[in-house]
Amino acid sequence: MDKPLHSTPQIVTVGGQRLIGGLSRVYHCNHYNAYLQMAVLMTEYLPQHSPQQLLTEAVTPLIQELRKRGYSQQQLLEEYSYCGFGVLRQIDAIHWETPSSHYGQSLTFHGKPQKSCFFTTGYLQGLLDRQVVEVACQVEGSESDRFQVSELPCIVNPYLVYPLELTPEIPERFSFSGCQEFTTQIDEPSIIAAVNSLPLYGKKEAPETGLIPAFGVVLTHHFADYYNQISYQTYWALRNAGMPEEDSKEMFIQAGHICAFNTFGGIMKSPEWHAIVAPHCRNREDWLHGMIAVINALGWGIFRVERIVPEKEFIVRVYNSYEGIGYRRIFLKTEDKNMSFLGMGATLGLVHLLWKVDIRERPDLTHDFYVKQFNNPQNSYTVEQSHAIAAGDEYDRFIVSK
Amino acid sequence: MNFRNLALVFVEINTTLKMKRYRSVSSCVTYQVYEFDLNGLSLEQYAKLRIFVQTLGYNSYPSQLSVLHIKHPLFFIDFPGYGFPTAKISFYPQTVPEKVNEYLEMLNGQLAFGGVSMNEKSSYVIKVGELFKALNGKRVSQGLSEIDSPLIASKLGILFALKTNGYVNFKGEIIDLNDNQLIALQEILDQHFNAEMSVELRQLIASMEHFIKSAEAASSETTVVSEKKGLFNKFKGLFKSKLHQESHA
Repeated sequence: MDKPLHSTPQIVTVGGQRLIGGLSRVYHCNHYNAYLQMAVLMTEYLPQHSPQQLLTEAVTPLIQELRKRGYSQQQLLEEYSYCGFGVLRQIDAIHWETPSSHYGQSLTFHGKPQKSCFFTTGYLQGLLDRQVVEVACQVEGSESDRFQVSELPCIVNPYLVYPLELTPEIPERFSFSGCQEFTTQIDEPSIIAAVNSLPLYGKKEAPETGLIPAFGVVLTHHFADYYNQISYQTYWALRNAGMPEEDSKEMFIQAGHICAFNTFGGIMKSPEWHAIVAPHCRNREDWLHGMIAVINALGWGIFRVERIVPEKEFIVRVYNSYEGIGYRRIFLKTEDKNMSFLGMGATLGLVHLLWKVDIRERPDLTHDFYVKQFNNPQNSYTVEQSHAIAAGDEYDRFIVSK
Repeated sequence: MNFRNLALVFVEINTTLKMKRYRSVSSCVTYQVYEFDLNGLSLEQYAKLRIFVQTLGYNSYPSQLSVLHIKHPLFFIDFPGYGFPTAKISFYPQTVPEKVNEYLEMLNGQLAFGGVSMNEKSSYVIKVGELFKALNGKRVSQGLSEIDSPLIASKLGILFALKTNGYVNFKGEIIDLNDNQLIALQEILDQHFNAEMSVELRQLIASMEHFIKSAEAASSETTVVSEKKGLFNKFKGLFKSKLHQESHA
């Protein structure tokens, strides 16, 4: 196991949330980050709405909040690397660069190459309290991403206007009303402990990258509130412009589906999985239980399987889902139950990995495989959210069925 | 329905669907004839109207692809091939005004539900499947990855609606675009899919005959009506919202 040169921040795990500096963090891969950023940028034609500004300013108040809580500039730079965003360093009085960066190197795009390090721009704004612009980007062919700091102050209003409210009482696995009786040998606490022992932090020894390559993807230990702010503000902007509900949600749910394909798929093909989890699996349903245990170490909330009818139905509850909890920090309660887009897409993707394709056969998780088999409409399942923390329920609940 | 309401219906019909009313005498029978102006119809509108007309009765010229002569107890319809200036609906003398209006309103509604006014002439019909195939072909030729069709459709639907303030369903089989929309599509493909497609788009524009035959074969009354309602709602919502924004600007 590699040993990091940077100091390890204190991580507090509460109710399925991973808090660093008091802010919720979640693991997500480069595919999800790319897809989500692309979905947000699709609103660029909306009048009086700047997706670039949203992507930038969604992180600035979070960094300012960490500074208020006592973080030094050095700690923030170290945490940038620890969380897998790359290596951020100052060149001169007004220039900074990321010779290695998640958003500059690890994202894939459909559109014309353009400056894409909105997150780092916003991070620097929060760090320096000055307005920052990206002046060069690796996506456009530069050797490094470069940022220029202006003399103008950066004033961004905080958007976490409501307190963090977690559900304290989370039922034990398989022991809640309405839960099916399961007989699985999957040992969830051991799996969570194993995942937590993996070196899932940015690489700092030579060659220093500050990136987290793992399971065939590049991970980030990202701000949950950043995801929620960019997703939900974009969703509501689309709805306010008159876009139908289904169309407005589709891209975000698809982002979760792609995330499951790459990250869950990568995990279930990994040597770690085959050493720790696979030996205890008798069938595909045990693989579902095993992957749910892994998810419970990612900071996404506490997933509890409620029902499995092989190849027909999969129902899961999520207590303290980062989307539901995060939604209620930004917005008032909604009446819409289908609001945890990542959760919907990821749960659907998990089912597709086992009941639509068979990840146990270790297929190559290529783009071609995704297009022609995994995301092919034939033999697909559907997902519905029946309960939502965003709508005032105790938990999120997803029903995947055929 | 009283006379006042009847007058209102006629005004509404006349502002949307241009028509001429006259009497025609044949074999001592006097028909009330309403002649529709087909000049302003796009291919898609023409096809929708034609498919709907086919549902009203039976075609007494079943062997002719381009001409419909629909028989109904209250009227008959002469509906020519695309490119002809007019179609006619001739009501038998015993048809009461309420029924006349009901059918005129139905015909008119077929266009209204399409969400496109008669004056917005569309010129280009493109098969969506072929468009996506060409897009991926272009991307692969440039060393870029293929994109799956559902994703292309979702992206294009949102980008196109926001850029043009008009909803086009890229999840259907065909799209029907006017000049400005075609240019917008080209720009979106270039910017958001990194594919300069002007040559391919010119090649993708379908011939009229090919499109009409496809539309006739593929459609049924149920799917047409439900699709139209969906499109109408989507368009209406978008339009309403934009108006709202402008009024607050």
